[in-house]
Amino acid sequence: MQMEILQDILTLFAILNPIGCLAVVMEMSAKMKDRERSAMVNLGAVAALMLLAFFSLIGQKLLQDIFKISLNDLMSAAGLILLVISIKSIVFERFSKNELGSLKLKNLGAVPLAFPLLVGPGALVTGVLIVQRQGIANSIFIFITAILLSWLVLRFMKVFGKLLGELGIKVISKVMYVFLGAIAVKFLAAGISAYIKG
Amino acid sequence: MLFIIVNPFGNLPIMMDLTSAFSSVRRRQAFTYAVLIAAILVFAVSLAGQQLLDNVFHVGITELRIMGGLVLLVLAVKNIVAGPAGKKKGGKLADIVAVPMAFPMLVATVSFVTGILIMQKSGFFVLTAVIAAVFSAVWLILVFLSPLFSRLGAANLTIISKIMYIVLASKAMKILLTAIFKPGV
Repeated sequence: MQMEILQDILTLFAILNPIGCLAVVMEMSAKMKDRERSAMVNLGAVAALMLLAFFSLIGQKLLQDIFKISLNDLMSAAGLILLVISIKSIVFERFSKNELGSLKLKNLGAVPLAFPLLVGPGALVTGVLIVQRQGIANSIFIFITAILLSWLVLRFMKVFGKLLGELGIKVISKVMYVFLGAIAVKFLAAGISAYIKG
Repeated sequence: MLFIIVNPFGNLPIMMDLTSAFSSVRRRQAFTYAVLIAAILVFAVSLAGQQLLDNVFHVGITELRIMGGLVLLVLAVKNIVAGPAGKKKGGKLADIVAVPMAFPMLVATVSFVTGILIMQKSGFFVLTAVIAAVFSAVWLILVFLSPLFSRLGAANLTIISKIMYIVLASKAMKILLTAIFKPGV
């Protein structure tokens, strides 16, 4: 049980991928003062947590009661979505130039940082999956821990930036996506094999 | 029964997203066409039923289900992964109203089967009445709820439609996997 919770925290952290966000956030907040930047990071993390928790809980109700979708269906779909996201991020970039361009037009505040930089669709689907598997109390704990970890990375982005360098950030972010892809294959396989067995 | 299967509430956010480049007048037009096409489709398939599939196209209901599932899956995954794209192109009405909006979003195999069943059990007049009633209700919901949704604002709408795409992807997987591994169900 504890292992599973730890595993879910790591999965969620991998898809939140704050280290991958670092480069984008640093560039976008280059002109901000330190105080402004930390306020933005705090706000972004809180907004990300609320978004994730709120929609994961709603998502579960939606799936079970209205759409009659089982855990296996969700797991195979989540696996496919995460797999496509991670392959796209490894082979190309997580966000293409076009997509980044449309992000930068907006003010950097809670919205682009919380959604879609930190909590994107991948994180939402992972969130719904975690709620289905772990129950509400455990999932809230998982969400808070994963967001807290991401907040730490962003809050001390200067330290991390210096420590890792541009290359280090890229390498870690890509390696994270490799693991995420492997987790995705696991989800997909589990969802499909349940159909074959059942 | 047919109303639940058509599911206008669940489809609305996604249809809003698909028509996000349209003005409100053109969006209403698109919804009207989509509902009309869907109604005609169910009507035609319910009447012609299995005959059409077996003798004209030589495909079974299973193939149709797999096809519908795949269309939904690709649609969902594409829109989930594509992220915040730049400005969408204007897009033509005709490109989206029939496929994917009418089929397989509004009506798909389950609706066809339901229609065929109604036809067998209750006959032509009941079928006509049911289809007319259901799709009028669907149309009313789509047209009158969409201004409400627009008021939510673009950011909220994006998030809601992403959630609905996740649901859609799961539904597509369910259709696809059921059709492949349990064709009898």
